[in-house]
Amino acid sequence: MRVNQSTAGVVQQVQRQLTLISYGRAVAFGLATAVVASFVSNLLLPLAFTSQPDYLGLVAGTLGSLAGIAVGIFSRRRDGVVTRTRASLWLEERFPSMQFALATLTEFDANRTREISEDARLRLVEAVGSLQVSAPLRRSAIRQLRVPVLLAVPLLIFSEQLQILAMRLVYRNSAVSEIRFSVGADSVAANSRALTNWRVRVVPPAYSALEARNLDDAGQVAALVGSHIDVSGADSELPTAIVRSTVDSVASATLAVARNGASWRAGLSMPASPAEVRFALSSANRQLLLEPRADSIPVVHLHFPVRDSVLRESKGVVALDATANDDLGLAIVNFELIVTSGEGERFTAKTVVFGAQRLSGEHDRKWQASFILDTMKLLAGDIVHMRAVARDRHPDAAHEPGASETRTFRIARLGEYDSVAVEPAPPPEVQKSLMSQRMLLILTEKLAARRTSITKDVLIAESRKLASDQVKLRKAIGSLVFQRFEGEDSGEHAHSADDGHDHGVTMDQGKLVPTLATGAPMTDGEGGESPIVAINKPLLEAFNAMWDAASSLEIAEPKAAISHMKLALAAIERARGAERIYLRGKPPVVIVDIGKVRLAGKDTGQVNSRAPREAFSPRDAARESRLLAAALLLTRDVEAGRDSLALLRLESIAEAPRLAAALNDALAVVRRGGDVTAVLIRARRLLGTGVRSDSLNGWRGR
Amino acid sequence: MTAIPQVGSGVAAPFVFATAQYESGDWDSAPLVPANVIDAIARYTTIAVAPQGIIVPLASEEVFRSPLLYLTGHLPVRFTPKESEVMAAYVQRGGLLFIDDHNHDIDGPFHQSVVEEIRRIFGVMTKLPNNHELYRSFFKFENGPPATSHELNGWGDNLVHEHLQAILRNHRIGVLYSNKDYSSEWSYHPDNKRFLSVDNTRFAVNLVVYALTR
Repeated sequence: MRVNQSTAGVVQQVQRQLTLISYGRAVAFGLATAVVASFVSNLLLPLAFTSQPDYLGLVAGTLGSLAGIAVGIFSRRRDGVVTRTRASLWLEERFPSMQFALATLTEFDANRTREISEDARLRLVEAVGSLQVSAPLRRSAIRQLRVPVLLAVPLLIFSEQLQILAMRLVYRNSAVSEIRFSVGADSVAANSRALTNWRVRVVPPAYSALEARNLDDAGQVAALVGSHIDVSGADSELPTAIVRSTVDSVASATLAVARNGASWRAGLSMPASPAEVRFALSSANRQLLLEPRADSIPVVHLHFPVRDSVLRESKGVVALDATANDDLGLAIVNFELIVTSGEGERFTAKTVVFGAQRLSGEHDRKWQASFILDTMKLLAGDIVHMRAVARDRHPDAAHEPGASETRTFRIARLGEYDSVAVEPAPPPEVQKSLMSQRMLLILTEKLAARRTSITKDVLIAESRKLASDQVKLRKAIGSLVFQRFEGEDSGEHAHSADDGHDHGVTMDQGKLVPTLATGAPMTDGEGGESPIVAINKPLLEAFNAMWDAASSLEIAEPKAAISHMKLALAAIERARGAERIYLRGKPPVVIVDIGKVRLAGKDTGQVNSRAPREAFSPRDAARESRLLAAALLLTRDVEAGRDSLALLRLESIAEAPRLAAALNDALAVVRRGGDVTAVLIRARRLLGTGVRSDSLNGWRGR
Repeated sequence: MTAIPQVGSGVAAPFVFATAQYESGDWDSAPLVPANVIDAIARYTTIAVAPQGIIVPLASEEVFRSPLLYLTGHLPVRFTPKESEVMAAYVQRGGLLFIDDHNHDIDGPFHQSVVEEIRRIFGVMTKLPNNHELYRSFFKFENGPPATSHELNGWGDNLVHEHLQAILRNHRIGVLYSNKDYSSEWSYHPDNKRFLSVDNTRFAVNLVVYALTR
């Protein structure tokens, strides 16, 4: 005989329920542990890796999952296997009146080799009686699951926020932005929802001569400003559409959506600034980003004339040579001359356009022209400005033309020096004296030759005139001698032998005699001539010979003066050819700073305290938050994340073009279904000044 | 002039770069070479080196305190009997006399006269092979003595001198003669070394290391 069926069923029910509670505890503890472990891994892993590998996020998730599984297994093993005996004992504990009758019965039932008498079994069955186990089981479940469930549920709910928190902490402390996730091809599967599979047709302005494009299911359109954009969808209901500028603070406008047979369509022109068109249909909504491309103005270079110039006369032909190129096509190219005349506040200017060529949309053009200066009736001081101008095919007259750099030709004013004036240096004093003495000698020789053919008065007058010149030259030589002796420019008239100081020379009846015995500067220790005396001795001879020549000329005896003048000339030439002595300067004394060379000096290596980089500006901070949110969104909903990135890119084009370019790369990766971690990291680093830190303590040199 | 350190005091005396002062010619034609060589020694080696070189009269026995003696000039040179005697004794006692022609040309006045003098005092010089250990005593110069910019620019005799010449004593260089004009090459303030992509005074380090260790 066995335990009656109702009692056995109760024990089985308790056994099953207790096992379920045990598994529930394990799962709850495991989930809570996984979330916490992922959070901690996200915090700690970046610290362990100097270079941030792309799979770091995956590693953090795996670690968290492994920790959760481990804790779950541990929890489950800790509870042990719930056998029937344990279930019976659990019931005995709740119903003490059974006095272990149920446990005994269960044990005997499990161990069939041990037989008991039928009376004993009946007593035991009677002792067990009927059991109501639902209430104890409920209480037990609440008691055992309360803690793990209360722990796991909030953690699961806020797991995403915890990841964001971990990343923010890592970013702030490590100055490294890491967003780790991978967009797999399977996760790019399109959601089956409304507003999918629309078609966008872009018709560029007619002047651009560009072809219309059809874009299937595009979320973003980049086109020339003024292009007509036609959006058509296959939804049976009409969506609403709102156009909002992402740059200007212009109020949103509703876009008219019209029915087109079984589908709908909406049309608009590409605005001048980026804009977003948000379509909404019931619970679905979708954006179309409009990225305007401006028509660039032509780029023009004036290759000739090469540089500005000043012309002495308004003569000649000026050749002009220029090139221009444009993205959409050139319409007109020409040269412009602006001639300005006048000075002060009275200026007149006239503009001349010439060399114009009308083109039919060529992208590149090289053209030449020339003008004749003679015919322009330019006056001194007039200025001619030259530049090349090119206009593209944009129909708006206000559209800016392209212009080259300006060259300027100026007509020089009268008396204006337009070249460097170099004043020739005067000949050295000795050279001058030489020439003068030779000239005086020639004149004296001529006078001596004419002596018999001229009157006495003429002879006396001319001879005295030569004497006067000879005296002047003698004084010049005397000045030179005194200058060399004493370093001062003083003639013999300012000195005398008895003026109380030694000149190195003395006057003797108008002639100079060196005082070698007393002139210490002129002699060396052994009594020989010093270099100064050696150089000046011929000059002294010349000085004295000139004295004699002047005396002879003064009394109208030019023939007698010739011999003295020749002596003077020879003496000057000797002085000119005297040996020069060049004294070398003291060689430099260089003491090598050994410590400095060996980099072992006093420098401590301590530099000025480093200031943390500036925090993000509010705009950059907002962009960062949006970038992070978009990055996290990519892990759950690729399309939504892609839209967020695209919108952020569009809004950043004007103010943060580098960020916009990086986001464009990220979007390309998302579309391919690859790993966007690296490009998103790059994008984030382009925000603001890059690395941020609240204090230097957290700076880790990366 | 820096005092010559005393040796044998128990403390290793620093190396002092010595320039020979001789009676004839212009011994002081390259005044910045010593500082530049000292800078190179300090820059590349741990050799204790005096921060300033000394000038030693060649006729003085003070030269015996210096393991390396640098001698240069432009002008014709005739060593006095005393100078010749000291030079011979210096090399005999193990000193290294480095003579550099500051003219850098084969038939310059210094070259002609100093080669005669070396022949008179020491005998005929031989070409130092370009694989001599001098060229690897510290830096490696695979092609022998480094060419100077004066050679490469075609100055002087418009030749790149392939070898240095030497008087060897017991397989060791006693007199090293160069007409590559290292005196011009190294005669600049060491502070200007930072403008060179390759330090051209590295060969001087080999000279000093060779003189001190071989």
